[in-house]
Amino acid sequence: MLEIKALKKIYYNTWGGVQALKGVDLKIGPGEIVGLFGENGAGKSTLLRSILRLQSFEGEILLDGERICRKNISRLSFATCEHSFFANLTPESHREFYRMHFGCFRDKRFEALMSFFELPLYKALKSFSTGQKNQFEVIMALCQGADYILMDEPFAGNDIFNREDFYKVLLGILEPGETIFLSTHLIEEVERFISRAVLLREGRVAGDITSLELEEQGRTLMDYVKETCGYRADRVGRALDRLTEGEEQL
Amino acid sequence: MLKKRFSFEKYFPPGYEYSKERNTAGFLLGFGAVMSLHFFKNLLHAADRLYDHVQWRRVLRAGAVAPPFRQLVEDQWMLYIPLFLFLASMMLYHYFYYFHTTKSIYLMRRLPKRSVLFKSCVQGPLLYMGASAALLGVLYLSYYGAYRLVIPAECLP
Repeated sequence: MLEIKALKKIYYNTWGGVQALKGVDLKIGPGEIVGLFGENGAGKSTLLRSILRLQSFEGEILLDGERICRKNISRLSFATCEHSFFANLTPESHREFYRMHFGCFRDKRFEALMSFFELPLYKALKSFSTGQKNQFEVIMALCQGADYILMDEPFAGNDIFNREDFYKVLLGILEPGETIFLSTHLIEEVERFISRAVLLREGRVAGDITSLELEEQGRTLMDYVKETCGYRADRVGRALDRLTEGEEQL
Repeated sequence: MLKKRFSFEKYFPPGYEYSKERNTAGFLLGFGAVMSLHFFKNLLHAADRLYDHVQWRRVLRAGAVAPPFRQLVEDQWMLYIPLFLFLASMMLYHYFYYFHTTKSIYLMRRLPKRSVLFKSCVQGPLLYMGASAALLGVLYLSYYGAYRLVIPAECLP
């Protein structure tokens, strides 16, 4: 169980501080596939980076009752659109590196996924396309042998077919105890794939709902997100009207 | 039995192209070593002062004492300041390498062994520093040999 208690994060700059997270409380159990949604700047990436202890924060993050430290950090893996691999190394060299540092590295899964996505083993990652780099980033997160796999916009830049493939493969290979915490803007795409949706708004959890609850309520995830985030559908129309009026006056 | 080849790679951040750094360090070490040849000028000058010139002949002055070897090489450590400053700055550069092109720092900071990140930043420059110190040790040992050869035993301090 991953427990996040009263998580706060302030980014300080010359002019003061910006509070990115204003007290996030969240529990994610083993085997869940959780989608993390929210507008740009809602605090999604900050939340994921805090869980991984890549930045300082206030509050508490516990993994099965223990604070996240060197002892249990390998139970968490991370795939990010910023990419965390070494651009000059080949996938094969990454495999060796991961094997050396993560005792539970999933060799068979690595081979299967590399072959499924037809990624070359002996070519430096810097020569890969953006889509291939994203694929590799996710492959490494899935193969590290972690129980909790955190993903931050991992498919930014991949085409729709490629993303579809990935969702299917993910559902096919995940073991019952493996948990996915996926931050994305592709709400409609991941709707069928996730078991729960968490919405962040202005640094707070604005919504937390399971797919089953959504189904029972007869709502789509997109509707839920729009309602919870207070999306104003008429905003664009009004802005266009104002612009057109201005042109007419001229 | 197969000989295991020495590899610099493991002393640097993964995927880091260390050849430029190695060449620059080599150049700065060579620069210091070449400049240190000035020692021979000092040595010959010191040796010359031990003698009197009588009718085109060199005669050892009674009671003449040569300056100690340490004195002849005293200021030469300054020749290696560029090398050591360069290597120290490389330690910082290795850390920033993890932010270059990708954010591999995320992976390095997630590793179960905390020391891996630190070691990858400092090991290479420390290795160069060690190798440079060893080479300089050999160089100055040979300088000392020259000192003992040129300076007559009775004039040694």
